[in-house]
Amino acid sequence: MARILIVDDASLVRLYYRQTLEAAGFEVREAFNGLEALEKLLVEPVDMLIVDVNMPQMDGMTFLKALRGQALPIASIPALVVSTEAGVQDMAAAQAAGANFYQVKPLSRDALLQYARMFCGVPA
Amino acid sequence: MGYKILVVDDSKLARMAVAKALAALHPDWTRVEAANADEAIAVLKQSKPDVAVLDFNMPGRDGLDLAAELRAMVPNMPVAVISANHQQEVVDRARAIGATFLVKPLTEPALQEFLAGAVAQLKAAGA
Amino acid sequence: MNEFLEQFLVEARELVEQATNDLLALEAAPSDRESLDGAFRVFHTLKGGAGIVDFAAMSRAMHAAEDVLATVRAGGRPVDAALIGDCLTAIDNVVQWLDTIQDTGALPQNADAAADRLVARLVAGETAARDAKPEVAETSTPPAASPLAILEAQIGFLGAGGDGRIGAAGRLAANLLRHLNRTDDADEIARVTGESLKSGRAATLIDAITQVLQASTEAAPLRSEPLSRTLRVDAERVNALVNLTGELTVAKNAIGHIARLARESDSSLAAAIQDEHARLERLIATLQRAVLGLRVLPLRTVFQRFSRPVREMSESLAKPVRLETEGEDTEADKAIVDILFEPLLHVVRNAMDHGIEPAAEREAAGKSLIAAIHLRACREGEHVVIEVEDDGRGIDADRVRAAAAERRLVAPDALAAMSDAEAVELIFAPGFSTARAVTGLSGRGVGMDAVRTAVERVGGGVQLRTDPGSGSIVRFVLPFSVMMTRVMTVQAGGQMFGIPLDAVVETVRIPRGQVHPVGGAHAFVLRDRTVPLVDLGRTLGRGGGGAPAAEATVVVTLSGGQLGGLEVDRLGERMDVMLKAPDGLLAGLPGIAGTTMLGDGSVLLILDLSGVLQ
Repeated sequence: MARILIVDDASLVRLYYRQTLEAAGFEVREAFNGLEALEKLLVEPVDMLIVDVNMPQMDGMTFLKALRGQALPIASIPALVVSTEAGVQDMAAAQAAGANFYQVKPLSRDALLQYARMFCGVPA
Repeated sequence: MGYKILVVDDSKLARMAVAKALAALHPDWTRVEAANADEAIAVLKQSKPDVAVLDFNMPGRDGLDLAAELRAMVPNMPVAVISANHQQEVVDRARAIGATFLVKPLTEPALQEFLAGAVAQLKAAGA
Repeated sequence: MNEFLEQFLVEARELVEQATNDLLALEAAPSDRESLDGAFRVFHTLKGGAGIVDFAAMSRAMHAAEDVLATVRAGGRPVDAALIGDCLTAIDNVVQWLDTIQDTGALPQNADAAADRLVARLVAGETAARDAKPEVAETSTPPAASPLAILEAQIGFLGAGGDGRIGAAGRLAANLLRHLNRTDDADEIARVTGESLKSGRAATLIDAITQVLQASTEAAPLRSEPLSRTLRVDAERVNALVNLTGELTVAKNAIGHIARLARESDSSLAAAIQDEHARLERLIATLQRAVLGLRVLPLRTVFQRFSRPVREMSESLAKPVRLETEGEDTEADKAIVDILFEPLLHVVRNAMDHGIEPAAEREAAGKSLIAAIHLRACREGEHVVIEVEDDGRGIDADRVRAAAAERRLVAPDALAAMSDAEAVELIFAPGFSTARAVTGLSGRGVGMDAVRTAVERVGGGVQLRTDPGSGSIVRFVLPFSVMMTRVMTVQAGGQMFGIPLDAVVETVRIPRGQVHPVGGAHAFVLRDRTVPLVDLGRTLGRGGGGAPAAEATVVVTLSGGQLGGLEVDRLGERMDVMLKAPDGLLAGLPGIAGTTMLGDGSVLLILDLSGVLQ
């Protein structure tokens, strides 16, 4: 069963993602910001990261940069960054920081499930 | 002579609406407010209102339970319960407790009628 | 916005959050009584609140949701995904409505239709409704990108290299292919990823991905989304750029000052400094234009707000009117566009109230039954011109004279001496309101003088042309860009001031003998007109120094439709300046429009003539 870590400081968003993903059979973990995410990953790896950009103490971009630089298996977990900005430069910036892909909020249930299935290799 | 009225509703907006109607009908009356049953009891002990107007649908104890409690503490206190849902059982319960049932949204004439009755009752009791 | 509406918005937003929590919790645990009761109560309270502030469509929708949950509470219906989805959709609608109410004070026009759809959905609980077009038309939740688009994006992602990236891109690429049921390709990518990690070369993996993409038979284009030609940029960032450009201008002027000093002291560097300064000047001018051009918006943003008010006024006044707009693509600085709506609306209201005749009168006059109001915009050099034209009865000069006399705005003999064109200009006078009966529309005390003031404040002007019987045109001339002001500098009371050149009519020298005291002030005659004269130095508190000169140097200005004369000590040069709004101690002073820094570092005060001539 594929495991997904949601990194977002809004409890409502984490709850919403969790409901949606668990209902579709994914295992869900949560982290409040980049720091907590790193801590959790060091203990238990996941198959996919969904990362918000704006979080306190360690934002999404900083987190991913730090993650990709590790000489550990967790450095190669595919990551989807979700944020409010919509511009070509934001995709480039997100990828430069370490995101495999970038999607603008809000994420509908269908889109969320699509990404989860694509990133975790669940056949369509 | 102005009386004191207690308005209980968890929605501040709804309390504002009652306040507006009251100000139009009896500008000389004073008003105290509470957002739920516990607060209402506390306010009652502290400021001793003469009349109470309660929302039925509140979290925790609903307006009818509160009405029963208020009338237990202050027998024959004129109490009105406001609700948008006038199912028969709610109306019956209200009557059983001795509370007047008013329909939401509260109109000035409806409030006026209740207050007139309340004033008459209070005067008769020597207040 | 009244306090009821404000309170409603505050409470409603909290309730929306509560409902979302409760509904999601309920979906996770269908037997959670507390969440069910909570959600029920939220819809009930939202219904009540909507009733108090009179939003019937919303009340209706909330009532339906409340009823559905009441049924669930009574055991008549189970909690399932469909039910939760419908309730959440109702909440989504509410959020949208709240946003519209916050902006406009009312529900959107399609609220009734949306409420109907919600009610239908909630009551029927059909899945069919869900498959139909999404309820919330305005929000476009972007769909997920296609697997091949994401795959292609990995090429860019790999560009930065590094084991973490190679591993991540490889895993994702393989998973994407598995998702597409292309297991062989997936396995191949997994193999290549291993090779790439061993060699440390991202290029190996990039090549493999490129090959897979080329082999794809998918008809859809490989690019995920067309590169957008526009960027959404925070207005604050643009303002910061504008300020920065202003600072650059100041620095450039400082260098010009140094260039002059170098010339004077015969420095060998003088010529070089001069050349570079000239080049800087050209570059900065170009930069200024480009930066100021970032803040422009098309006038469409203002014009499109008029169709509804015109339609509503047309109905309430029972005067058929059609609104036509032209030149909506014309652009103007955001600062201009932002202030335009209110003045334009007032002019349109006037046209509808007073200008346009009732249908019967129009028919009798042989005019078309449907009156027309034109909103027109075009660019004329450094200005944007906006016209509001109506084909109504025009403005009756005699009625204006009568009203002015009644309000004692002008002496009767002056009135009689005015030409019709001049009399009509009186509608711009403060204290004049053409509203006889205060119709709920125009009678707000916002007269044409307020319109003129608002427009002049941003460096523009407004003119009126009327043709009795045929209609009127109100013409707004506004600077394309608000920040650059052309000023004439003057010396007064020993200090230098800037006077916006737009307001300067001419400069004259008046022999002292021709300056007459009038009441407590002074005036002079200019081509048969009496013009009030003000000593600028003294007015600005700089004290008059010594005996007045034999001849007064006077700058004749036109502001607020009035001619005025400013006596100064000396005239200076003209310059383009970037106006900085007054702050600190200067902010409260009347008569100061702003400041700018000069090349030698001194601060030039730019005058606000309406304040000075008061």
